[in-house]
This record gives sequence, C-alpha cells and structure tokens, in this order.
Amino acid sequence: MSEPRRLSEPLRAPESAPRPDKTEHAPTTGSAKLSAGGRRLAFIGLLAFILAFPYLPFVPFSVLGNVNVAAQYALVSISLVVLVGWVGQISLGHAGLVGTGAYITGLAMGGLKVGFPVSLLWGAVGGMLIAVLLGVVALRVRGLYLAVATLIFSWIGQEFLFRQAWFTKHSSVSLAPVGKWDTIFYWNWPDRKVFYYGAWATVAVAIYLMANLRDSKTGRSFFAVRGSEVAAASLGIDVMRTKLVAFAVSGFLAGAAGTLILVGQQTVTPDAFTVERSLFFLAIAVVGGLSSLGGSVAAAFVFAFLNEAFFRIKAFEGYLTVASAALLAVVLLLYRGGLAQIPHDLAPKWDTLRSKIDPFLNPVVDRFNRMAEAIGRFVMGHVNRLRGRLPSGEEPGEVVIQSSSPVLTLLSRLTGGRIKAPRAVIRTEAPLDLGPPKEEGEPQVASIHNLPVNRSTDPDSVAAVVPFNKVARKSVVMAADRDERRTVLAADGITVKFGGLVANEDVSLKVCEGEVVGLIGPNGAGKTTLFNAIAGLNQPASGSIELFGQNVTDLPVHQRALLGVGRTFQAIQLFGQLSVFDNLLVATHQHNPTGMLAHLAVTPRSLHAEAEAREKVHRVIRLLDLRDVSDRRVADLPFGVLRMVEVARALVTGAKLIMLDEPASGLDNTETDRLVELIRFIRSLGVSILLIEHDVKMVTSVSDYLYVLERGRLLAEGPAFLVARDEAVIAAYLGRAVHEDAAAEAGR
Amino acid sequence: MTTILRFMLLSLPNVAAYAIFAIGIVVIFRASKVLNVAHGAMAMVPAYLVYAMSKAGVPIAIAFALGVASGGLLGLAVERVFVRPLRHVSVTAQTVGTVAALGLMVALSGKIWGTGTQLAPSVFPDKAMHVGSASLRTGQLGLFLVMLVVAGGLTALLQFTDVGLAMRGAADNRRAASLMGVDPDIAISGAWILGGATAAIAGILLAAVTNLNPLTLSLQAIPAFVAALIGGLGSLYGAIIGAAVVGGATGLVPAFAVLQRVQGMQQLLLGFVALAVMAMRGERYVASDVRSGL
Repeated sequence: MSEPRRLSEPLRAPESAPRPDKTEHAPTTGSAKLSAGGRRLAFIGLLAFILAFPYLPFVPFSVLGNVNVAAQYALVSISLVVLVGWVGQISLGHAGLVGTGAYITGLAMGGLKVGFPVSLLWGAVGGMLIAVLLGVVALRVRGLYLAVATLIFSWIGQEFLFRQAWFTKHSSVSLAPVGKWDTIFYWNWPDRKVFYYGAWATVAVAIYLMANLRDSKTGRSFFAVRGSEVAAASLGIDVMRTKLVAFAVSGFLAGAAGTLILVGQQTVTPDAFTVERSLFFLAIAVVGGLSSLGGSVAAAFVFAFLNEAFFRIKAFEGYLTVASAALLAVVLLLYRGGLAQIPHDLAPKWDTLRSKIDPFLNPVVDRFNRMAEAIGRFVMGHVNRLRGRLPSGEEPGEVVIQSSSPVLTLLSRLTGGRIKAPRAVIRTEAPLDLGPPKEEGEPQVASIHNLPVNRSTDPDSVAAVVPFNKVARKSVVMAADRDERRTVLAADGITVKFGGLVANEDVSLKVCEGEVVGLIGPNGAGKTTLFNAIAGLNQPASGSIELFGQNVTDLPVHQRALLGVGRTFQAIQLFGQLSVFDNLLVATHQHNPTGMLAHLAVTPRSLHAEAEAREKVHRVIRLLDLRDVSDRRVADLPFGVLRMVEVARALVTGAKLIMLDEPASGLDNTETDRLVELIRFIRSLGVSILLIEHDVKMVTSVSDYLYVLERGRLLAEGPAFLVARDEAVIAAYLGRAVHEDAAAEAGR
Repeated sequence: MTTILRFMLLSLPNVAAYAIFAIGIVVIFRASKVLNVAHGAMAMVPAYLVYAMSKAGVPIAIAFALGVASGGLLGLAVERVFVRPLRHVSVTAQTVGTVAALGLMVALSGKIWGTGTQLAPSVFPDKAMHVGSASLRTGQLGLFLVMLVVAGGLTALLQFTDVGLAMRGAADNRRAASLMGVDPDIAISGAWILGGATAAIAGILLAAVTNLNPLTLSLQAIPAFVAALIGGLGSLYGAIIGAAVVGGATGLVPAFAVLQRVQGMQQLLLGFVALAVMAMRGERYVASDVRSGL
C-alpha cells in the first residue's frame, strides 16, 4: 500500500525550468497547486458536500436510497477486507453473519425496544459471537476449512436459521423517531435523508477503527499470518488466535452491517441473506481490491449503482446478477488490484493531463487560494485561542510518532497542522530493553540495545548505531569448560519418525550461552528435521527438548519463540508483500504489550509501544546496513539481501538463541564473508547460535563446537577444530565434502 | 425400524451423488490445492444443457453423452480461465476464482433458462419399484447404480494406475513431476476434466430425480464439501465414507417426524457433522508447511 502522492509535493516541473517563487500569493506560472489554505478550504468544501448531500436539491430520492445501500455494502466489504484481504482466510458465508446480525437486531429492537444507534451493538455482537463459535472450530485446522465452514453456515442460515419463527419474529421494525420534534436533535431514522447520516457515520467509524488496527501490531500480525503462517509462528505470533481475532472483528462488522440493512429497509426477508448473497458480498470486496478500505467504499458505490442502472435501463433488465459476476471475474483476472489500484495507475498520466489543463486552471486556483487564505486567517484567529491547551512542538533528541488516524489527520488539515494528532514522544536516553525480563543476579549479557554506537554523535540516537562490519569485534570470554556455562538449548535423545522412516535417532545436543554451535552432515542426514523438532514444527517420537532450562517438548511453535528463540529458514520465509522495515517490525510483536482495543483507540500507551518498536527496527536496520532497501517490498529484492533481512528479523525479536538453517546457501563469496562477520558479531552480543550449514569451511571457521549427523544419528561432536580433523568424520563426510569444496574453489 | 431402513434405502441415491461430487472435489484439490466452489455449477450447467437438448428433441442417450462431455469442457474451462492465471498469486485467490466461475455460471443459467424450477427429463424409464413398503423410482435406482460404477471406476483409476499418481505428483512438486516425464499442466487439466465430467453425470442424474434450478442444484455440492472434509480433502476413500455419513445423516431426517417438522433440519445436521469433523481434526504446524520461495 504505497502512500498516495501528497498534494503538498511539487508536481514534476518540465525539464529543469526554474521553479516559480514559493511566495504564497504569487501567481503560479507552472502547475497550479493549492496552497495550504486552499487545501483546507477544499477539504472543508468536500466535507460540507458530504454532510449536506441528502438535502441538496438535485439529488433524486432513489439515488439517495442507493447511497444508503452503498453504506451497507461498504461495511460488509470492509469486514471481508479484514478477513480475506489482510489475513488471507476466505469466508464464503458472510451473508450468514450479516443475516444473523439483522435478525438479532430485530429481536433487540422489537422485543427489547432498543433504539437505532444502540442496536448496532446488538447486531455487531451477535455477528461476532457466531463468528467466534464458527472460528473456534474451523480455525483449529489449517487450510480451507474456514471457507467450507462459512459456506455451510450461510446455507444453514438460508435454509434453517432465517426461517425459524422464534429467530425472525421481528423481521420488520417500526422505528420511532428519536429526540425532540423540530430541533436538530430530532432523528427520524425511517427517513432516508436522516438514515444517510446514521449509515455513513457507522461506516466512517468502522473505517477509522480498521485503519488504526491496520497500522498497529494487530494489523501486522494479520499480514504476517497471510504471508507465512510458519514464519509468523516462529516470531511468537499465535496464528490460530490471530485468525480468530480477525474473524471476530469481521463478524462484528458484518453483524453491524446487518443492523444497517434492517434499519435501512425496515424489513428483511431470508432472500437477502442467501448463499448467493454471500458470494455477492465477496465480489464487492474483490472489486474493491480486497485489502483496501477506500477501495471497499468505492466498490460499494459501484455495486449500489449497478442496481440503479439495471433498474432504470430497460435493455439491461435481468442482467444484474450476470453483470455482478462478470465484474468479479474481470477484476479478479485482469485487474487484481481492484478499484484501489486505479489512483496508482493514473498518477503518472495525471501529471501529463495537468500540464495541458494548467493554463486554464491556474487563474482559478490562484483566486481560490487567495480566498482561502483570507478565510483561513479569519478562522484561525479564533482557533489559535484554543491552541494554548494543545501539545507544543517536539523537542530535540526525541523520537516522535504520530497517529495516522483519518479523523485526526482531518482535524490537523483543517487547522493547517496547528492541531496535531496525539503523539508519543520517547526520550532515547534510557536504552530500550529487548530481551525477556532478566532475573535478579543473572549475569548481564549484551544484547541489541547495547549496539555499537558512534560516540561523536549523540550516542543515544538511532543515527549513532554503527553498521556491524565497521565495528572492532569484542571477543566474548567464555569459560573453557562447556559444563560451566549456562545451557541455552538441550535436546536429549530426540527421535523423529515419518511413518516408517526414522529421520533422527536418539540425537542429543546442547547449545551453551554465547557460543556458535554448528550442525553438519551430508544431505538427508536429518539436520533440518532436528532443527524443526527444536523449533516445534516436528513432533519427536521420543526425547525431550529444553530451552533456557524449561521443558518445551509439548509447546507449540509460537510459545517456544516467546521464550527467546529466533530462526531463519532454508527456503526464505519473509512476508513478501511487506517492506523490509515492516518485516522487521512484525518481529517486535512479542515485546509489544498492548492489546487490540488499545490499537483500535490509538491510546497513548499503544502509540508509545509503537514508537519504541519502530526505533528498535531503525537501530537494527542501521546495524545491518539495510537502510537502502528499508522501504522496498521484500518480493522485489535480490536473494543475498533477503538472507540478511531474515537474520535481521530474528535479531529484532531479541532472541537469545538464533537458529540459522543453511544461511549461506545461495550466497556468493562476498555475501558469505559478510554473513560470517555478522554471525561473529551476533555472538559478540551474547546471543547463542545454532547453525546448519553445508559449507564446511565456513562452518568450521565460525563455530565453537560442532555436531556431525549422519543418517539421522550423531556421528561425532566436539570443539570445531578437533572434529574437523576426526578420522571418522572425514571418512563419512568431511573428506568428500572438503574435496568437493576444493574442487569448487578451483573452479571459481 | 423398517421406517429407518426404508429411509436409508431412499437416501442411497443421494449418498451416491455426494460421493461422486466429493471424489471430484478431492481429485481437483489434489491436483490444484484449490477448493472448487464451482463444483456444483459444473454439475448444474450440463443438467440444463441436457434439459434444453431433450426439449429440442435430441434422444436422451445422446443428450446425456453430450452433457457429460460438456461437463469435462466446463472443468477444463474453469481451470484455464479462473484458476490457472491465479496460480502464482495464492490459493485464496484461486478459490475466489472458482467463486467467480460459480457466480457467472449460476447468473448466466438463470438468465438463459430462468431462475424458476424446471422438470428435468428422466434418463431412465420412469417406473417405480417396490421394496417392502418403500418405493424407489427406477431413476433413483439407476442413479445409484451408475454412481456406484463411476465411483468405483474413478477410485480404481486414481488409486491403481499412474494417472492418479501423476495428478497428485503435479500438485505436490511441479518440478519433480515434470522431471519424471509428467507434464504438470496436462495432469492438472486432466484432473479438472475428470472432475467436471463426473460432476456432470451426477448433476444430470440428480436433476432427473429431483428437479432443476440454477442455484439449488449448484448448492447440492455443499454436502459433498463436508464429505470431502471428513476425509481431510485429500483422501478418496475418506471422501466416499464421508459421503455415506453425510448422505445417511441427512437422509434419515425425514424418518423422524420431530426432525422433519423443523425447516432446514438437514442443513443444520450437516453443519453439526462438519463442525464435529473439524473439531476432531485439530492439527499443529508441520515442517511441510514451509513453502519454498516467497
């Protein structure tokens, strides 16, 4: 989701023509642009248009009805965007959730005499409860089970639930007007003009909340699960819970949409919530671009007005469903970005268009700007009086992050930035603690918040972090005897079987604090199998695994990660659709204590945690010298960089043990050297490393201790320099490998 | 007791239809890793074609053969148009692709033949057979027998010949499959043609004993999804057992007056079966979930 071009940025000037003066009132000769005041006025104008829309003289009654229907569609579509677009779980039964919301709202309004805005909660909570009930069962299993479960639920709704007298008793609601007649507090909901406000306010709130969620830890965990469930789990994200939360949020919004449908139409029939309708809802979300909130609204309008067009134009009669299905197919196959993609594709053409219309536009824009400035000066005179109570500017030496919430952005725009969105200010004097809480008396180990810094600049700022390969390495003093050091990982008698195949047989290994342990062996020796057993991806038939002194044999992947284990994968498992920065940001998940409700409301605490997380990532990005690629989408980057990013991601988790699965495979010589340097650097931070590698020269040069696996069994172990010379090892593996290595070396 | 037996007997045609659908769904899932939501529509369109042909005076046998062929073509078309172009995107996108196919087929059929319910031509001579107090129409019996043959044949083809192996291999590891001389694209298309043609057989025969409606017939595949789910979406035998469970459970509903009074009881029961299956199938992450590449 790249940021749309900001209006404040200068439009591309032709060649290197001198830019016009930036004086606000000087008539522009190049491309006209709105001044700050002009933008503000335009914004106010748009807002006024939206607010006054139902009462504008040229708006036909039926159009207004469709605009209200669009609000219902938009809300359902947003609820699908959260589930399908962000988490990658398909729902084929949203009509079931929407219908449940509608009928529960009916029960509340008809039976309990609940009024309209409040009844939204009934619908929403009803939808959410059903979603949770379905999700608890269907999301236990991976794969397409949720799709089947929701499809069946929609069918049950269509054939059973929405035909039960007790459930549909109040399928028609008569809405009593709320408030005092003849004042602006008089809300006569059955009136389309009035309902417009209720419906679109609901959608606006939903968009606001979901935008907050998207830009928070919760949103990132959604994207992570969509990208790679295994990688997400390895970062400490509870995948099942994440999916369940997303489905619950989706059900909440779908249920609220049900309320809007009931209140808007005042009566509903089961025909409005059939399986066919479920697929229609999905079509709206797909046409909107499936992961864009704005696209959802746009698509909702498209489908609502398809209704109108097919109703008005005789020749189209009866083709509405065909057109909807065809639109879905066309968007899915030919323009997958959906409506949300259009502004991005038009941006370059827009510039050319502008240069053509500028001569006509400029005088108008200039006049508009002048008028806006005048109005602005008048209004701001009053607003400034309020300003004294608002937070002032930022102080140097602080990291400031701002909420990106649309409402606050709006406020900020209206006042020309004088009102600022709530911000979290972190002072960077105190180093941030990354690792798991340290116990009293435990030896202090270095970690990534004690990164090497350049003392000549402010040592506490992010900018002071020095790339790892520019640092003189500290050597870590370790006790000579392994038994005297703290054990980080102890695998004891691990046997892993796949059907009849024994992949690991009675393998024991341990990793001590601050050491690099290499695990080598020929192809098929069971190295990765053992690795996955330690990470929790394989369930060993016998044996036990201890991490940091705790028996984890029965713990799932994400809980092991939470204990302080990070890993990389042989086949890189980055989140391809996210930028490098966001990939690393996902890894801060386990150190962010704030919950979803805090993210929805953008509480100061959640902002603070977000700021902290971002700073942490900035530090690691500087450390690994990844600044050039920080904002690039991972899927577009070369392989060598991706390996580094994956190591960086493990580092950001603050893990005390990092497991690297063939990190050098696919790297060239320079990149491998860099990797060796990085491994040594990580070790100097006090982080232990378990390393699988094929490149024997590399692994012996970087490891303190080696384990050799052959055919699933442990062949040898010992200090690296001894094992490399062991006769049996050379005979079984190294001899051949070293030979091949030498051959490869000669071939280079 | 005899009532229950009688209703079990009556549910046999449904069991057979679900089994055919479920096998098709499993075959397609194995080859493409996609849940073919359009499976019911791939049965519905051929049923309508046979209906149209028989109204135009085409003998039923020829219409039937053409209908089955059209089902195969439909399978191929859905795969080529709605699934293959999305293969590089995600399984989610491919599944949504089949949703688009379903929507298009249902909408077009509704436009061409009307959204109302039609009486489909019977494939077998219309006679009733009495088993005790139960009466079974020959169409139902024929449906069951044909299904038995088709299900048996399909299972044999997929389990005991290289064809099934090639289709599975194509999905599991495209590169390895092509190294072994199997063109993965042809294997996948083959799976879809097979799925489409068998869906057509089931659809035409099912329409003959029930009736013809664009949406209702398309939704007849939903019980088959549950049946396939019981076997874990990947097992043929599992799908057949699943079909027996699903067909039997829903078929018994009319046997009990209490249950029959409640509208939509069959769907509700089906939902419970599905949820129970899922609840029993909790799985942890396994190493094979690690996809290769991005």
